[in-house]
Amino acid sequence: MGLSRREFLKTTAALTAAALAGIDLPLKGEDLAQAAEVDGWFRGTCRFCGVGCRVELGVKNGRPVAIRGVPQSRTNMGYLCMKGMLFYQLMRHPDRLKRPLYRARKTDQFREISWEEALDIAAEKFAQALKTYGPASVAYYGSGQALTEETYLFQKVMRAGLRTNNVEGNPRLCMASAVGGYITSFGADEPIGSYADIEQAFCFFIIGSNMAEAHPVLFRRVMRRKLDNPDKVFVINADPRVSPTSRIADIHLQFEPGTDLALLNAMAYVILEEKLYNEDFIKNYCAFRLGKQKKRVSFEEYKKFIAVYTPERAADICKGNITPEIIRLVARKFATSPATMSFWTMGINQRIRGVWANNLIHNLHLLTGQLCRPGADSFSLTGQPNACGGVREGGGLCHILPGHRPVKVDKLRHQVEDLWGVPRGRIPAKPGYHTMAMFSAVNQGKIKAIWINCTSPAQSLPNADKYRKGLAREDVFVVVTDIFPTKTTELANLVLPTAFHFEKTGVYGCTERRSQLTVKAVDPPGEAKPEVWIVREWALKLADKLKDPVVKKCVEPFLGLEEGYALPKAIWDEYTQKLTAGRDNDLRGAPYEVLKKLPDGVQWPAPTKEWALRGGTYKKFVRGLDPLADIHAVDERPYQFYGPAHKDRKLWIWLRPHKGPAEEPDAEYPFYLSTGRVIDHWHTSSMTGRIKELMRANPYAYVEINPKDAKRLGIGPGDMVLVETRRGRNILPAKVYEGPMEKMVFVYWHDMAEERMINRVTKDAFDPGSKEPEFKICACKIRRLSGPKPLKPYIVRL
Amino acid sequence: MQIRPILTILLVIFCLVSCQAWHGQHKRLPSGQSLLAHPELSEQEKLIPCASCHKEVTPEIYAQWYKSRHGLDNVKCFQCHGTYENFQVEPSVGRCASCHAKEVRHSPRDKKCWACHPAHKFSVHR
Repeated sequence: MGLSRREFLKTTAALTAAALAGIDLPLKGEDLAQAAEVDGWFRGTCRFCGVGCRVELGVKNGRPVAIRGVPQSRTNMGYLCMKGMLFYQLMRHPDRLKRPLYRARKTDQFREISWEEALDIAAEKFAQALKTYGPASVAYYGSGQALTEETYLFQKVMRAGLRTNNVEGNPRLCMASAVGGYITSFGADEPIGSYADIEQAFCFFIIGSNMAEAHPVLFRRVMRRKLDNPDKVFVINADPRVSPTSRIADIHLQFEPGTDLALLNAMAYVILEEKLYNEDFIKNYCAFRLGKQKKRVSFEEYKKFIAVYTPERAADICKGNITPEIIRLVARKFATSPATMSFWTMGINQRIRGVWANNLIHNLHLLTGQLCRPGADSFSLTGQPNACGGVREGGGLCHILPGHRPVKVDKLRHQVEDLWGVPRGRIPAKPGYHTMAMFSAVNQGKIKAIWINCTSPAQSLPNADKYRKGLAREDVFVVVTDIFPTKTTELANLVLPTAFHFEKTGVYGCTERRSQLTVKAVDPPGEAKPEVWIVREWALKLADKLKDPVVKKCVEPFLGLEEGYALPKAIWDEYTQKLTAGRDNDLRGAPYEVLKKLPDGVQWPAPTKEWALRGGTYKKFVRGLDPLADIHAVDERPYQFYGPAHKDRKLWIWLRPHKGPAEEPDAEYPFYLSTGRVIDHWHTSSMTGRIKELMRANPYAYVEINPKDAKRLGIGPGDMVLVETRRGRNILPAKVYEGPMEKMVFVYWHDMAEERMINRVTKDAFDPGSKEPEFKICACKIRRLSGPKPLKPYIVRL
Repeated sequence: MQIRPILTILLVIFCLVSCQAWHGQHKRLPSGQSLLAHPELSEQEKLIPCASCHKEVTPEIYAQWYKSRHGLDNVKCFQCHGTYENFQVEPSVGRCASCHAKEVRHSPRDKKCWACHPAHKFSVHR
């Protein structure tokens, strides 16, 4: 009997359906494998996105064998996405880096060396650069995926030891505009509310975020809220691309890329015109501000400013499906719902006016008083698991010190020097290079030694070819610490193998101000080491070579401590007990022993253990809910905005004009090019590309093309398409579907293959305030090259 | 009359015959895996997401999944069924436990989840 594959599949499916529908089989042993066949479950946080899902790793005979969600966790309630379910496979992956690798010249082959030699070389190169060219010639480029202890120790050694603020990290590429938005609008970084607001919200305004793929477990909560209350809950999704997030939306606003500022101002126009604003909230808590000088203006002046953003004018600017009526409708829904919660991510942040776009979302909440109440919040979704905890709070950017302290404020800088016991003046008063300036300085040969930790800028920087040239220079010494080979290890002199998640101990701080501990459960493979050990040992060698006791002083409190637990614990203790004391992210109540007692960690502010053991602060600035709101209260009002950046204790409504993208389509490059993530892959796919299930689900980047454009250009599904910008070209298979709007294409950015690596062609223009690049928008042209071709997935290997 | 066990045996035999017809030979599967194996695919074909084919060949199942909460939240085929090396037509309950640990712990030991929650829809109790 011969069966075609199609027939076979049908038969199998029918059989399967029958089996699943009516046949109850007794459970076999393997059905409960996850519960029975492990020696122990170890609690921690998922390695991937900023949601902060709590997981338990099942270990048997010292090997990771299973993972499951933690049902008691208030972040994920036990649910995991496919990345969370599968990342334990990476711990024993054959591609893991297991020994230090070195080559004097980047054209040489790597050779394995000992840790002793590796750290000696790293120290010698950094010391040499420092002595010859000064502190500005060395740099650290870290990650929102590094543990807080790691970022904290790296930046301490760089700032106080090597006397440079050249401390940056990949959160500059994703969250810097959100930081700028929160500080300029609310006077303090990070969201006021929490995920718990989702279950109390009645209107969701999701703009510039495909949270169904980028934050799937949090999206699940929004989806449940909507599905359980279809008539009471209203979902607005605003995005030039229809995405899986749009499936739960009541309205999808599809506007041309880069017209978001006009749309947001027009919503404010409607709120004013129809008197939907909350006069009491504005009067009690808000001030209006204008321009670089932060000039205080009146409500009347704001009204005059906003008068030009009529829905009619905005519809003309935005195009797509935007009409004056739709703008009026969503503005009314936003303003009049019992509680409105906004979400956004890179679509808003990765703009040349990303801070302004953030401000304009906050404006809508401030005008309507949709803030500080249950379900009402203006909530930026963080991309990475520890961009908030490690980098924003831990001092991982060139302009901020630990505990949300700006470098340039003398008093706060000296406070840090005193707390570290190093001489005043040791930390430079001037911020270092921000990310794009840092890699420009590498290009120019101004930076002679750079340490890149847990990230792959060779693939993740916009206009990447330009910056890869700098990293390839033989006079720039590049150290990379990572678990797998990447596009960046290809440009390194020294590659140091690090312990992966659950192979070391430390804290991740997720999107909702929540710090969660992951405790070491298994040993790292080969000679891989935790970063905290690497930094400590490197600093000791640096101190010798520079003959500088202050460098040693940076790591002195941590000498001799065991690297798997005692060392990170001591670092966390120093950071929380000293550096966060009295700051808005006060975490003194959350030492490891407290974090271990709770299934889902602690939300700051948590100044005492008693408060931390209750879970910490669900909503900032609200008296009775936030202990600091009570401590810093100056009157009887229920909300106390004590944010360190606003001395007037007001929330600021900004007058921000519309501003388009840096590069708009024209006759030569007639399409918008936008980029983004898919659910199966994380960032540059150096991890997820090594998990078969995930790689097969999305083996390469596609270029998504609207069917009308595809028809006009004769492009069919799977056809090979040339995507060309002013910076270079990619050749990608086409996915033809009603995702991107007409005259726009969308490409996934995880693919490492040179011909499909989309950041080779994106634009490196950046926001003058946040310095975050405009990854999301540039101009391109597209052309069909051929019919479908078999393609190979690509992962960098040694 | 106990018709379900008989039906099961008949269906399994039918499927095994089909498998042999397709592969030319019956492939022994590692222990713990279902006998209802996926047809053999080339490495290139394995790069096609499950749903791309199954949307066409098992449209009812695809539609049930797509409209379900699993579908809305992008819980994909391989999360329950595995990939080609560990493929199971009927997943183990251990797979469910990754997300639904509490529910699995509290469920009757003699039933699989889909005995009460219809497979692929997972909407409500039957």
